[in-house]
Amino acid sequence: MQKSRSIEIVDTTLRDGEQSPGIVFSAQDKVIIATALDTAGVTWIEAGVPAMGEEEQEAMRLILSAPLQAKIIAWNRALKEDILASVSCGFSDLHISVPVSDLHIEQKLKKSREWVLERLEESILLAQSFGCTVSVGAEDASRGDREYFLQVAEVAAKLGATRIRYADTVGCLHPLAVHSIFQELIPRCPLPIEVHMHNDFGLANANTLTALAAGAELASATIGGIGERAGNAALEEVVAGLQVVYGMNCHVNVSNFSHLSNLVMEAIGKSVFPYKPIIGSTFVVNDTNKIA
Amino acid sequence: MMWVDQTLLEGVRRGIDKEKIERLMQLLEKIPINVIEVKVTDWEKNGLPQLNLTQRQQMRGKVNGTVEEVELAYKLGFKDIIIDCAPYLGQGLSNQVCTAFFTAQRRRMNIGICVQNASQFSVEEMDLLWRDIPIDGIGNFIYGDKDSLLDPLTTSRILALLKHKIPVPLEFHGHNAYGLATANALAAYQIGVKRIAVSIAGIGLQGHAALEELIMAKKRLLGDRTEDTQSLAQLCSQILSAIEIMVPSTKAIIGQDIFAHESGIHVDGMIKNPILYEAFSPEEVGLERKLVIGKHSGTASIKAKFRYENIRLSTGDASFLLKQVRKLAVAQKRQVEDHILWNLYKAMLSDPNRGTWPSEG
Repeated sequence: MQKSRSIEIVDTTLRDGEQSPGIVFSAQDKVIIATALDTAGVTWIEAGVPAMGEEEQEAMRLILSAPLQAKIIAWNRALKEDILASVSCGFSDLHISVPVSDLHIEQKLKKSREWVLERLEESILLAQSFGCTVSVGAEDASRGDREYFLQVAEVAAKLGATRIRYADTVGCLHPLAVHSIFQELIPRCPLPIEVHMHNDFGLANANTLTALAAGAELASATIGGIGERAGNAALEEVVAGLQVVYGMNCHVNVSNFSHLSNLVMEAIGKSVFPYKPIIGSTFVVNDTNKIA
Repeated sequence: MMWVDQTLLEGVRRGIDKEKIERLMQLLEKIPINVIEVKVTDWEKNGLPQLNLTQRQQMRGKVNGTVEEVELAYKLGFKDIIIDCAPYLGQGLSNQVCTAFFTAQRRRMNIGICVQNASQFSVEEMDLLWRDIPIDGIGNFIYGDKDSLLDPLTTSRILALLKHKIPVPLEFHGHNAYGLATANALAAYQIGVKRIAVSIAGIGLQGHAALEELIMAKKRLLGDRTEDTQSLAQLCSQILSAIEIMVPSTKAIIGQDIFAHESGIHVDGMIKNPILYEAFSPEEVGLERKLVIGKHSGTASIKAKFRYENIRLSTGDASFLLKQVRKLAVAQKRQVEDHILWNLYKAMLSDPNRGTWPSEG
């Protein structure tokens, strides 16, 4: 039964969250936040992009040396240099991302679908040659051909990747569309699907929850929804929504959210919008907050 | 389509004065909002005067189900009112609510009934409750989701059923405790509900659907015809600043930084074709694209930044600058401002060893 499934969270506050323009976490911030996420029960933490340079690599080594239960993931393009940078930091869980929409393949990479599959295959094999476990990311999947997404998943599954991330890179899905897409994808996809939704129309959380209800197994999210442009699905909303609205299981402790959001906001020097669900001040329960 | 505004109601709750209310109403008219809801007791509490003619035409007073509040609304000049109630399962409308209703009828007011906790009931239970509601006397029925229990699929299923059963216009009033308000309102819109409660940026106690998100989702995701959106971001900021609320810089649709790009991959894509990493263009909502230089920049970003100044950087120079940019961004924990980047560039020019650095991709 769907209701007894348990959903896992892949936190990407330290990777996609940090990609929000102007935001930089210090190595120490990253360790503190990763530790708090771990304490809250988050099982996967996408910590950063080692290919970005020495400073990031130093932060990555610090996180990897912290005594955490959560598995720590490095984000990579399907490039040898990216994978080598991650391996040299000591990562054993690698996420390898490839664009899957023709728009991205043709206009950004100026390559072909076949070329992408070849690079993906090479990169997975390279990562595995170092003993790494690989998850695959399908960038811009929402604007791409569904059959090609499934083809990427087939290749990844055949090589032993553990899951595939469906990314709504520019946040252009709405929940009813997500429902019909995932109704079709779930039975046909050979790998568990992780969803990564952006918030350009304020629908990231709803799209994430709709996909999970339809059978996706993991949700990529960030504390406070920080991330590129209008951000990502907010981890606290995904978890609370799953538990309260959908009655599904997710073993992340909701009582840690105000602490987590304080840590993140302090590190980036911003404050939470008072009307942000769960963590905004108008949502903090007290007697004056009776409904209007 | 009728958008029922909850922004002003939140403003009044926060204690804004008469002048600000007038300014807000002028701004809301441009969005355009069709009906403005206010809580009658908040209006009185703030010492606000009787409604003027425009207010009378555009405002709807929310009252709880008591005779006192109905009389208060009448005294303040409200012509349209909404009677709020939250019935218990199986008990129907309370006598108190019925008395309030008859009082409003005697006062010849236009009456709507809002069942705030409707989402707690099944459709069958709603049917039972419906028998209690004096249908001939009401102009509309408002389905409330006060505890934010709904998800988009459920919203669409329930409202589609109710729309057939209920002989008066159906209105949807959702809340945002779990971040689903915009999605639920969009689902209601998609199955043909024509009256929906909204606020700018989703403000209000327990939150609401954000109007700017609905307008753009309707336009871009559903491809519906919409009103002009080119001043949307600016109007929303003005409305919120009249209530002394700052728009977060990354708020969807209206935040100042939602078209700021920093990461190497995104900037590279943006230079090739903006639609690679943008769902709609900044001009569409009256915002601007920005190129931020920082820890996540790549050489393409550095080159692009200088190209705006008509300077063509070699890849070697760009990667030299990039290394310094990353160090500095990490040290100061934020992006590298333009004038500092310029200083780094000038220092590089006067460096006698320039040109001997190995070039990197």
